[in-house]
Amino acid sequence: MYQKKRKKKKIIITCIVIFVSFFLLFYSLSSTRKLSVVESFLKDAAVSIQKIVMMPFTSLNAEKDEDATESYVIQKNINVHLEEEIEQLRKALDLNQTLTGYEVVNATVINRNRSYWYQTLTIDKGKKAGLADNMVVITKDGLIGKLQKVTNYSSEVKLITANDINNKVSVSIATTDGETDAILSGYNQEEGLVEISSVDSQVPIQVGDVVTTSGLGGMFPRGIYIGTVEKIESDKYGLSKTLGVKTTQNFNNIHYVTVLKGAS
Amino acid sequence: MAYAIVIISLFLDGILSNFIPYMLNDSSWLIPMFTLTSIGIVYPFFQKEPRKYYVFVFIIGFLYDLFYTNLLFTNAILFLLSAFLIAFLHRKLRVQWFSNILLIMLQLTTYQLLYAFLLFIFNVVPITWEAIGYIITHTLLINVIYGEILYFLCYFLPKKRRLN
Repeated sequence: MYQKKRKKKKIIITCIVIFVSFFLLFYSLSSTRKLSVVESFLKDAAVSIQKIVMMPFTSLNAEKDEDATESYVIQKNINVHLEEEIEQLRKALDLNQTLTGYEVVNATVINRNRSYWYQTLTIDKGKKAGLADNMVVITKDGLIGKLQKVTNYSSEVKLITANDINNKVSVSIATTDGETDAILSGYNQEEGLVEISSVDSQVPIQVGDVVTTSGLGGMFPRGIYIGTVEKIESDKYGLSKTLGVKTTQNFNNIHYVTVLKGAS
Repeated sequence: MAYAIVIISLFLDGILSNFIPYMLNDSSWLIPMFTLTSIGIVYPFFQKEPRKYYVFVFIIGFLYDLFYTNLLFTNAILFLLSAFLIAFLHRKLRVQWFSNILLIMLQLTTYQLLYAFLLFIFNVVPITWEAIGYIITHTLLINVIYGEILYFLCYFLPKKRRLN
């Protein structure tokens, strides 16, 4: 009798544990989940510890950092006159969606979640630096992703290479016949190419055509460089094409990023 | 000792996943899962107190989520399931250097399959068998080597702290 009761109790506890586990998994894997105050606080504490642990290793990148700064300074000097010109034109045309209209925040990558499924980075800037969800993240090589799960002192960057169902970027392909819009919708891990599917087969796309963000949808500003077309495949009925885009950015080796904060 | 091994592995996971591509120029075939590997290696230290082991593994899984994934409780639960598997295998196997390799491979493969299954049932990312194969093969090498290093490190410890 006692043993039977004990067995029953064990089964009930197991069922409760399984139910709670499923609930927790459903909660944590939900893509629309916002960080709670407690979670944000714990995440900030974890990031602080990580920064201390990483400190000796970040010096490894000092040389790279100098190169990037140098390149940035050179580019800035070259672009001074162009920026003035663009500013005048922007005022004249009242355009707010050009990149020069964005305030930028530079940040250091403190952690790389290398899981195949969730391709994300953690950076060392958060709400205190004025960052918020869905802000655009770039490097000197072009677009890399957008912000999600921003805490006071850290943010997560979801890379454009993440094979997430909700990870879509509206892009524009510069062809010989003008521009055509498409949706960037995945990443081919084996070939290292970003994929654009369902492009009209009538559009004369060639290898080497430049792909940039189109600005449609409002999430990403227009004109951020993504890469060049390297592979073109037609479907078996010849109705649409799938493109493979080669980026200049090595997504396995990102240490410094720039966040476009929003219109200044 | 066991706590130190797992906590060092937790930080090594972060450090190496950041710096392997930098040092070895994009080696995506070396995906470190040192925390999970170390959990399997330290089981013999807790053989007399399994409850303590499970609580410790759950906390480490929670910290792993906090540090590296932002998927609160996912790895805490998966690490715990992995700990149950390790405990079961230790009852059936006598751990030596070779069986340790098999144990790590089984542990990592089960973890990745369970993770893929979860992502599939919660419809997070599109899952294919090729992708699962890719992640498993790219995880095994570095972690088996790390597991063996830890095994021999524990094996040559002073007798009272030794494995088995």
